[in-house]
Amino acid sequence: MNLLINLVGNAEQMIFANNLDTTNCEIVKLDEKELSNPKHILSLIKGKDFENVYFGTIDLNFQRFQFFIKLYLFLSFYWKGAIIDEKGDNKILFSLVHFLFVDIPLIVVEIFASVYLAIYYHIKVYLVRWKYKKN
Amino acid sequence: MEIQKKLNVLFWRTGFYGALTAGGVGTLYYSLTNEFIKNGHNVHFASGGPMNLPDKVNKHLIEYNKFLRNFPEIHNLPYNKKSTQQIIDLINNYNIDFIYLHHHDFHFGLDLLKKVKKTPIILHLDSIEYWVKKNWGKLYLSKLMKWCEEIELENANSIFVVSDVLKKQLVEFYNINESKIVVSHNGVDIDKFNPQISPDSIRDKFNLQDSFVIGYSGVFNLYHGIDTLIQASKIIINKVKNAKILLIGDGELRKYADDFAIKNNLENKIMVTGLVPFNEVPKYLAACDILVSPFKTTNNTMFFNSPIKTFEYMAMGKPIVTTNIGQLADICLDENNSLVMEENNPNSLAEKVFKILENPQLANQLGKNAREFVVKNYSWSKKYELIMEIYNKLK
Repeated sequence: MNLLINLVGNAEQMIFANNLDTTNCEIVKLDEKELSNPKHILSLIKGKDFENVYFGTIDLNFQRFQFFIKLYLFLSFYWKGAIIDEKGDNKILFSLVHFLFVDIPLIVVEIFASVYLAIYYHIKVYLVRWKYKKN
Repeated sequence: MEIQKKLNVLFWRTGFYGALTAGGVGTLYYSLTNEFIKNGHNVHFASGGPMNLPDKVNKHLIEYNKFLRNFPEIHNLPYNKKSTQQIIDLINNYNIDFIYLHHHDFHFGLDLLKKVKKTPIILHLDSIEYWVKKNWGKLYLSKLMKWCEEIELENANSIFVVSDVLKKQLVEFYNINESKIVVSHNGVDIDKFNPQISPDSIRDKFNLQDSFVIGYSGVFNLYHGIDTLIQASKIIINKVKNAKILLIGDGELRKYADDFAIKNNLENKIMVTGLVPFNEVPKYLAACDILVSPFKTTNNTMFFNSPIKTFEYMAMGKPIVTTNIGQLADICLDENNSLVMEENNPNSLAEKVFKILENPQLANQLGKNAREFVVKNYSWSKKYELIMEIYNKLK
């Protein structure tokens, strides 16, 4: 049995577009906000002995939090999982090598960039607002 | 009579909303752009994602950075400069007469835009984002968010809010000059949503031919009161054996609905459609005998929305069970165009459903009155006329 965690979109369309077997797929609807709840996600994935775990969305080009989705797959040892969408033409298969050597270094860079941007925009926006307050 | 020249109007949605095109904001812009097209104007729409819009709308996708996608607040910040520069190009290329901007958190691009362009800007607010994030979501970088919101409000030439309650909130929270704020309710496409639509295709699809269907359409959030409806469904189904609940949509409380149905052995009675394309929503509403909007107050704050779903229900000419909090008190008139239930009370909801079920004449009258009321007061053309009135003052 496979698990399809539907973040947003039409689960039937995701199954059809990615040639999954409808009869062999448990679908769980999950709000994107729940991705910030690791306990819930991991218990969901580990709840049964699933053959494969898929996270589904409308269009992968617009799906946020892809690193965290991969992190959940990594932590639950479903190293064959994937992120799929309703189009089915560009699914992201989980790759341990890619996760360790590309995704993790990239998230580190993203964290540093985010800290920099947060500081930069605090100063910039503060100054813009100050200009209005002064007038 | 003044003849209105053909305008070049730019709608601008700055938020990152993924690829989701359903929901209230999608409905608002599909309908509003359609009104402008019907009136002969050129319509442009700039957004950070796909939008379901009429064919004649010129769509401009201003994509978000693909790198900063794991920390949404940060993701919004650099987008200000990128999107505003592209908007300036659009203004230059298409001689844009005015901009209708949908307010979103962490957007302060109007500061840059107003420095180089004098194009009038109408800012549309569904809510104070700072308040929403603080009370309903998770608020990060709170000061920055508030500052951005202040800058946007300062730079807009006119601020459209969807209710009197929201206007009051805005004045109190940000000390905005009241004269700049215009209350402009949402509306409904009275041709698309009408009582003549056949219920057959959806009734066949969900095996509802001999059922008495109680329907809900929209996002499954707490303030929509969908939990009240789900709890009431058990009471209703216990008394009315052929009753079925059709939940049209999706959202946070979807799991609550699914779990409730399983726990109470009501899987064949409570049906959840998932997201439905906007164009198909009227067919789903037509399949229902009663429509329900059990909105409720959350965080001790007055209900500040202008619910499109209620207008759509009314336009369908169906009997409605609703709460009358906030602006709904002016719209939903008890025993006239709807039956008003007690907020957050499943028993009250069930009682109103029984009342309609036992009195077909009342059901017909409620539906008829609702349709007449919404046609007279809440069609999208009313909103279009108000936007044009404000534009004519600003230009």
